[in-house]
Amino acid sequence: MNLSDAIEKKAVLLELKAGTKDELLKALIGAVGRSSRVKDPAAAREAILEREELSSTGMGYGVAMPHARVKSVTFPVLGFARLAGGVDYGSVDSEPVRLVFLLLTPATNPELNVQLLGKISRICQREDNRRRLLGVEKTGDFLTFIREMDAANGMVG
Amino acid sequence: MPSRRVRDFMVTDVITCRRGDKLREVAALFATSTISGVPVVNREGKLYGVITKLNLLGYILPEYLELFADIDFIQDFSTLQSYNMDALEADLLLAEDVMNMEPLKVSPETTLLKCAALLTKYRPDILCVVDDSGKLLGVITATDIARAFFGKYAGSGGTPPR
Repeated sequence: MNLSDAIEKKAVLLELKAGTKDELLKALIGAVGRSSRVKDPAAAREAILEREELSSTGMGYGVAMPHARVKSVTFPVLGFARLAGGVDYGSVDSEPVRLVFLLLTPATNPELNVQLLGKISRICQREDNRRRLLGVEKTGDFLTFIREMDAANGMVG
Repeated sequence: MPSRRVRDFMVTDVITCRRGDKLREVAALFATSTISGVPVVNREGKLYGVITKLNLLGYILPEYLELFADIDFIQDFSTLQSYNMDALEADLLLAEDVMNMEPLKVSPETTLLKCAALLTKYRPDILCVVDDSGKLLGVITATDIARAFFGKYAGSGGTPPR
């Protein structure tokens, strides 16, 4: 599955202002929860926070990937936030986070969870990709970038 | 002849993991033992899910292989690329992220014949044995059941394994 298929356009938040991890997650979960593909926003929120409790999804490089598998989700939903300022996320490298991909996938399809997280992870491991994400000005630019990544399997920055 | 039941053949000394365990650590279990599945439990032993060796091996493969009905035409698998393991390499994945959240469960009183039926129909790698509260008591596999039914041909008299 392509990442662009999962993106919820209304949950692409550029220059999100959040001072803490809690504020950030509240804003992004709220945006994703309004997607028509999320039938039970409360359950999705609980699943994301519960997963975050098990272990921080701050992967390093200023990137976080909060994610959860949710019973009421039948098709993946991907939201994105770029923070105006870095937020302490408890990441593996202790660096503040500015780029956040939030992913919800069906509980019955762990393979999809692994695939999509793998794609996002691969994209964000490249500095040139992170730079582009930090520089996108409009939602359309972000969507274009993701489509390019889908086409190139994350190999092209 | 009374039906043979799970309680007499299940394995009770089970390797388990927690939801928050890193997937790398779970994967290491498969590399260092012959187990085919690892139940995921909480501190009280309540079963949450199962991770199987075949599931993990599936993640090594590129997703587009699912589209092919026949993979025999692929001459060289080494050219295939999968990015699924990137999330594993980034230490992003936990047992929670990949476990089967609805594993097949049986009780200690389930007959071995029913277990055999479940295994042949649904092909899980293991059956988790739970009590009424959902607490994991053990596991039983095709190997355990085969020993029960076919052990007599090996001269063992079909005695419970292990």
